[in-house]
Amino acid sequence: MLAAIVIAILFAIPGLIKDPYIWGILVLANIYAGFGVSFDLLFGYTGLAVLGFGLFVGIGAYAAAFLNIYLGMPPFLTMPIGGLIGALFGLLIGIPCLRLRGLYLALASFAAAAICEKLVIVFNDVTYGREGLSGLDPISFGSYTNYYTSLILLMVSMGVLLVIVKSRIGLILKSICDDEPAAQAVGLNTNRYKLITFLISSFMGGFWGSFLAHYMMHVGPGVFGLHMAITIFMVTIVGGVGTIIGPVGGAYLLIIMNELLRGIGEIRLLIYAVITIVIYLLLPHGIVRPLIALIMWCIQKMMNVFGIGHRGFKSNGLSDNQRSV
Amino acid sequence: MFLEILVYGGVASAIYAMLAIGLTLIVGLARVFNMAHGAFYMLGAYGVFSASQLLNLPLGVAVGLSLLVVALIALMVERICLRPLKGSLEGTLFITLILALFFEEIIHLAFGPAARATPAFLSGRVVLGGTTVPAQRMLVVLVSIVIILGLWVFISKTKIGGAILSVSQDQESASLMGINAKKMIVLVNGIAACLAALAGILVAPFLSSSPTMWVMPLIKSFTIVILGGLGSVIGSIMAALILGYSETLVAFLISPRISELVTLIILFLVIVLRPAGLMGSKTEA
Repeated sequence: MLAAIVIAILFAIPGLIKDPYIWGILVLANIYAGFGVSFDLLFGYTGLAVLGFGLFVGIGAYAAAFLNIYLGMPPFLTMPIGGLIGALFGLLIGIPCLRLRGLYLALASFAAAAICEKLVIVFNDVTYGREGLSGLDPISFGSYTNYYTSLILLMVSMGVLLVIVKSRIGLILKSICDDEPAAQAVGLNTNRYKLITFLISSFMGGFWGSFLAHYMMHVGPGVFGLHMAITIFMVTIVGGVGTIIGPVGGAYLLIIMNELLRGIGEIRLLIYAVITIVIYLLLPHGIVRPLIALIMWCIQKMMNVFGIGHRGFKSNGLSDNQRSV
Repeated sequence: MFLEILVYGGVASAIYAMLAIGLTLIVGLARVFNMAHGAFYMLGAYGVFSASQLLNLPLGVAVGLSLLVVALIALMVERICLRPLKGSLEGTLFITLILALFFEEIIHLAFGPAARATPAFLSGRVVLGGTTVPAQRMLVVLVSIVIILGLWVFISKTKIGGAILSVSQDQESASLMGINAKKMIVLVNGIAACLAALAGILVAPFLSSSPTMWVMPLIKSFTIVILGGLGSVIGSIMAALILGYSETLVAFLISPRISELVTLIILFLVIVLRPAGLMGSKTEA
């Protein structure tokens, strides 16, 4: 119910706010939300702290740039191919990292991402080094269609992920996150499920990486870097780890805050970093779930005041959400 | 050429050893993976730059002041972030990383994105065999050796050092023997931050300071800590030498542009092939 209202609002935004600049900002929010939800499957659901998530984003972005600039492929082809190449790297990194957890997984994946970043800088005759590649084809030529493309793709990504995490696989991933030896003890091939997670997550990371490259019409080695990774997991933590819906909220908050604070200048990421730390220490489940609970509570109170029955609302709103997490 | 590799590799190893020893101590003691370690290095470099260049304090005072400030910041970080997160490995990892970004943004805000240079503490050059080396770089090696020896004496000969060792072996039994484990963790946290800051201070004159300077030292110190075996000081010193010399060899023989790749490849291979490192026996974490 609430989700439907939010989606309706998101689809109505171009009609409500007739400012292409705002649409452009929201496309960026959708892109970061796309990164966030892909990362959430790895980190939030399966507990794999992949610090090098920028690897998949960067591989997807550079794959799209090469295919588009050197081979002239259109964006609707380069984006899925970028995703597939991202997934290939997900396998390449995932297989040696299967038995790693925690610090080791974080550092090994970071090392892989940083190796790619340095290679991109070293081979500057094809990648143009630190400058990066410019002049990619845009997603489309209208900011209106850009917005709807990104929104629909985000809805599809979220839909796919929500179906996965609500299915039996989601339960298995959660059990791997909570206690991997116990999951193995009941006969689950945890490695297979971890690889599946890597595949799906890296495909989406690569796909949204290509989207970012086409949207910006530019790609530089920074996409591989630590800052990209930190931004992605800040978005995830703020929105709520292991919720899939959460990172979308986190991404919108980041981008909207970025815009509101543009006047103040360079302290934007500073404030967001502080917000992230405070939220992590005080609300470890992120802001989206408490926010939904608060809104539902308000609606229920209002219903009570006006004397309208509230049972239907309660059962398909809040409890539905709780089942997903 | 050979002599140059020997000297410059030594300088690099000395810096890496100072960065990594504090980290390996705190990892061995409390299993805290503090990703803000590189930020302390950066804060040390900027501390000495602002104290000596902007406030025109004498060098000794500037160094002391920046060490003090970094130690205070490290204690605050420990109190506000690390202690509430105790037990959550991923939480510590990500929150300290965000903290590092926070410090980067503060430095960016205060000093701007451009690199800042601190003048050398020691001018002049030292003639070593057939090659001349800037005195500042020899100072790094000397200070590093003195600090490491001092730390070794502190840990193996004093009562507090013994307490630290016993906490790192078994925190619970140490607590039962009347050792305040929390205090030891705070102390070692401070020592680790100060060592990182000192490394930053010493390199500030020849590696100019910029807001993103914390990333590679952080990765290098973790590479050394893992290569050496978590918590092993001897292993860390060996690993620092391996890393310092292999980077210098690659820089001299192939190209300085790919020397950082060496660290990253070593890091990836060690984690995947031998996560226990050179001296380690535990494969946890």
